[in-house]
Amino acid sequence: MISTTQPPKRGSKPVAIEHLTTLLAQCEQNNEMAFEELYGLCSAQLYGVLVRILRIEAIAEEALQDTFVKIWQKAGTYRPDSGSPMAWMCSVARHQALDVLRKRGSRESHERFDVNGYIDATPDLAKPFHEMTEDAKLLMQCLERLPKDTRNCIIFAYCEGYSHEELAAQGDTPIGTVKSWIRRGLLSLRKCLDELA
Amino acid sequence: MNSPDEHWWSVRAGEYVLGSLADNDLILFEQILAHDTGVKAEVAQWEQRLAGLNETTSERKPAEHVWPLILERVRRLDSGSAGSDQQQLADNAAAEFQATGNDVAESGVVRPMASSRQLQLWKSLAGLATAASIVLGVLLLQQSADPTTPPLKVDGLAVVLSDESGEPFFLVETDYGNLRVRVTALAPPSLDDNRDFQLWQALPDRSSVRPVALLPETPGTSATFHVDALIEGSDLFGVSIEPVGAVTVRGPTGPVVAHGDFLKKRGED
Repeated sequence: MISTTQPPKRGSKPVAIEHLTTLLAQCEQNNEMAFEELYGLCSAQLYGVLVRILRIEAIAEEALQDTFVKIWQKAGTYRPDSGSPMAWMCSVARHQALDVLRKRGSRESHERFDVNGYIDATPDLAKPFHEMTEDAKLLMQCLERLPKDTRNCIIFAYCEGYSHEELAAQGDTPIGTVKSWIRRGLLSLRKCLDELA
Repeated sequence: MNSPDEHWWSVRAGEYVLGSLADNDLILFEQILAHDTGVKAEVAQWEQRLAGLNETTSERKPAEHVWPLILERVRRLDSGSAGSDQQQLADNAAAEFQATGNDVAESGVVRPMASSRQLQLWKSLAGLATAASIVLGVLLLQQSADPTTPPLKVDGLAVVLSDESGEPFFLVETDYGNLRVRVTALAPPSLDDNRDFQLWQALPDRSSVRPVALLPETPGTSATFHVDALIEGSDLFGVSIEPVGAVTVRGPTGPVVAHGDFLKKRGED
């Protein structure tokens, strides 16, 4: 299920998927004006994703540069049938952030969120549920059905870039258990999304 | 990527998208991802399934100085003077494939056997080659290029690793039920014209080896082979360099360049 607009942003108007798709196509043609508009529309969302994973603004800024350079270079590889433009760009940003984390090794403890064990990681809802895309609503419903520990692991891994080791340390849980939670959780999530779609 | 491995691959793809695959698991997955359209599709599906989580993240406006830096970089790229960017991309790729770690054994994905021990094993097996061939007899092989051949039902999976760098050379998938093996060349080393790569399977007690097939050399190409037998209980494959043209049955006569054991054993979830 692909919704026809990007999620509305606080204080900003929804961005039409078609418009972002057009801008990406223009970037492929080396259109700098389109690129600048794309940056204006999407940089805050992507920077939010990067800061959430990388925690340190200076590092996130560098990652944002790398992300947009990759978007410029790879704009021609975006396929609308594989998801929304924003999802694709968020994916580029997340992979960039994960690359940075891997090269840096594990995070310093002060770079982690101060959570006492596993908080209920029903995420940091940046927007009310009713403003989310249909896809996001379905995902949230399916996440809610998972056991709390499993849900937390998946959300922390995706949104915060936590490694297995960090998740295990965070919850004082054996790493093998964390991996099992994630694997079982992914299968349950897939089944649930298939059922609800 | 075929059932019954479908769930296994789907979960791996999900872990890749989550970012929780690490070290050798990640290296192997990315190598396979580069060549397997089924795995690519799984990754794309997980990207789509989980994308909604990005909506839980608050927007954050980047500093004003960031955009001019990006613009400068893409202009340098477009003018062809982006040596540093290109170098950085190359470095990124290189760094990805240089990652190492001890998580492999713990993960249960690649069952461990220290590289030096494996190399020692294959050296000793090569030494026993002639005797082994007498005991085992000749295993006749038929290489199938029949396009009507039904899809491989993968019930075991091995990645053959190089002995030095750990970079995967070949992906080996086995269909014990139908006695077939599919081998995909990932990034094998270059080979002289008068040489072939040959796949071997070790006996369960690892006392000797059986020949399996000659392998494709071009990265990204696959070949499926019918074999007279696959050894039940065996989980170790190796690749040697042999004289061109015919399967060597008496054990490796040339250097063993790659070896590895199952990523997933038959019957494992």
